[in-house]
Amino acid sequence: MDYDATRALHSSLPAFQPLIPVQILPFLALVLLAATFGLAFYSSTLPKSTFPAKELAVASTASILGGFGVVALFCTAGVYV
Amino acid sequence: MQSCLRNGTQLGRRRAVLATTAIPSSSRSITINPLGWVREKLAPGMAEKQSSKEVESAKQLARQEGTGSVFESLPQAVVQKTKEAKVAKEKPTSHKYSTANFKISHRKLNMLANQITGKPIDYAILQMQFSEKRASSRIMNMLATAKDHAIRYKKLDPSRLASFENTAIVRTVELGGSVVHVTTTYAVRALENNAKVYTVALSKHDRELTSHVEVRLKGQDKALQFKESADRDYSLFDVTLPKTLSANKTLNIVFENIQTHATKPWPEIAEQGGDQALKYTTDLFVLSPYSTLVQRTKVRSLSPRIISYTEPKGVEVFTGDAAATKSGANVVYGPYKDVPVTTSDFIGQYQQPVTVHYHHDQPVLEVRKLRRAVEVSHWGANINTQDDITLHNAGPKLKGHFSRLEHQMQAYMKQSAPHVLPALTLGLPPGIRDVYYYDTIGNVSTSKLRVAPLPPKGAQRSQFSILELRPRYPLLGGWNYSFTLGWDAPLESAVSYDKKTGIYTLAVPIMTPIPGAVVNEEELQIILPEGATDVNFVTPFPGLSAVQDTHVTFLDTVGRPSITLQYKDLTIKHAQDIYVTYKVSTLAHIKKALAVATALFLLFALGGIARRVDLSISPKKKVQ
Repeated sequence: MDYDATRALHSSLPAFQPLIPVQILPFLALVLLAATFGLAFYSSTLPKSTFPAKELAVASTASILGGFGVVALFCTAGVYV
Repeated sequence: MQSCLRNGTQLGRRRAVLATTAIPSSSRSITINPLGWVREKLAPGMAEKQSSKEVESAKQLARQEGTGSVFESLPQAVVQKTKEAKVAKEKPTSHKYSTANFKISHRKLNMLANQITGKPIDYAILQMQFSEKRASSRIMNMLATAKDHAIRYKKLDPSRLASFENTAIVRTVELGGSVVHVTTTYAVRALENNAKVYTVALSKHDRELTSHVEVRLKGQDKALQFKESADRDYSLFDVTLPKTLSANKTLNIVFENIQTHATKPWPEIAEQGGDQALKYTTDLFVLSPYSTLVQRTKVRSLSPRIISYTEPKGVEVFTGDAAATKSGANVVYGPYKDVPVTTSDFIGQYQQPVTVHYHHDQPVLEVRKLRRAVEVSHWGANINTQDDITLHNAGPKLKGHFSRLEHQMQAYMKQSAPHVLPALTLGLPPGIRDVYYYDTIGNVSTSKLRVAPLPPKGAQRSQFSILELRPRYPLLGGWNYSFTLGWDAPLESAVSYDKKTGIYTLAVPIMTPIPGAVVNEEELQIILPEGATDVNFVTPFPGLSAVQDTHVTFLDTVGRPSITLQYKDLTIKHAQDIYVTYKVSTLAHIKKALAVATALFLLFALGGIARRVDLSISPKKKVQ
């Protein structure tokens, strides 16, 4: 790779755009974590059955929302992961 | 030749013309001794040495007949052929050649010799071709054969067979603390057509001190390409000129090199309120493989207080009046006229070190070790830069103990001693936030930051954020101070994205420029987001080493790719950017959240199992 060519390329290309805008990350963190907490609580109140299909479904949604929420929380706190 | 034989040995003056081009070989000359010839023809035949074949056949015959000698049949000691260590043959740098003896007056021959002495080979051939003297044709043929033999047999480089002449060389040495800036301007005249490559020479001592070399034409900014080859005592830089130069055209070539650790404090210890004086040593003459009409060295210091400078000896041949003069803050060595090609003979006879002892009014700063870690985050759109710096004051060491009272009084009177560093000003990139500055004890609050606004993308980054650091204690001569300085910046300022290829390009500054300081060692670690693939990088100048490995930090599963580069002897001229290109797919980007989600799901599963486990000691009685 040529140094001067790369430098010209770098200055001419558009800037980086994050997937999720950084300004809404704190609100996103709050919303997602609240939803995670709610769904986790709900899954704990579900009746016990032999095959816990509903429990697992609720738990998996809660964990996915929680995953994104935790990453957003980290970024809000200043630990840019 | 015929006339010699007829007239005998001593009649007529024969002169053999010897030619030497700048680097080694054997001389050839034909001698005729008529007495020997006569003896050979008339004396009785001497026993000639038999060839080995004849000897062998005679021995065989004797063996067959049974009259062989005892020594033929006895076993002979086996001689082990020892493998001699291969002595590396030194590559020859010059070739000598001479004509046969021919009759000419010494004065007439000297006239021609003075015309071509020290000149490049092609110029000399040209002059002899159009000279009207009788010996010129013979000398021309000899020179042409010598050049041909040098290229063909000694493998000398034809482009370096001196096709230039320096009309003037001016070397300006700007003295600083730990960094010395040497600019040499060569006013060059081409002596033959199609001159393309000009060679600059640096002595070994200068080359070791040099950390940055730049060559360009005077008045232009574009750097010229050069190739370096190191010899035993000097280094040669073959500079490719942008356009071929025709004969008798002139050009000005500026050769800039930055030297580090070239000065040393003298005296080596100083009191707290004392002065700081440094010594700088360099060679008197500028080396060049071409002859020079006039050369001059100007040594400039920042303050006009120069304590002493060496007077060169034995150079009256080159200069009329004083060999060195001082005026204000400048010491000028020269002008020296008609300096020939600086061969080893010249160096042995005239070259000498010159030392300038001068006062320096600013502290001499060295960064002993700089560890810079740059971490890129795509989730937070943030780039974090952290510098771990070990600062060292390379001035004269403190004599006695440090008196805080005296230091406070000096600060109050605003008369701080030149070798004390109370505060440091750094230029950080614009648009930064969350700057932290702490050392081994804890956070250091004595600092002032003025952040410059971030310019729009593509605009020249002209403004710096100013950070005034005041270390916990003032740095006296010989003292060290280690601290950590870090900041966050929005990723938009450093990374650009190509939608078509999906490649991200990241610009990482190699170091924070500290004016007048040299960084002895640097380790730069660039940490890319997790899941980055096709990682490539380009550097503006080569470092010591580059290693790609993995760095594990928060919320990582497999770790992030990181590039670690090592550098040494960096100055403010090296504060440029490294460009890294990489790709991150959306799936790799989301993987982080999915990893956390998996961990949470495991927790939920554990909770679900825990619900179903009965830990009561006695079974629950069912109410009837």
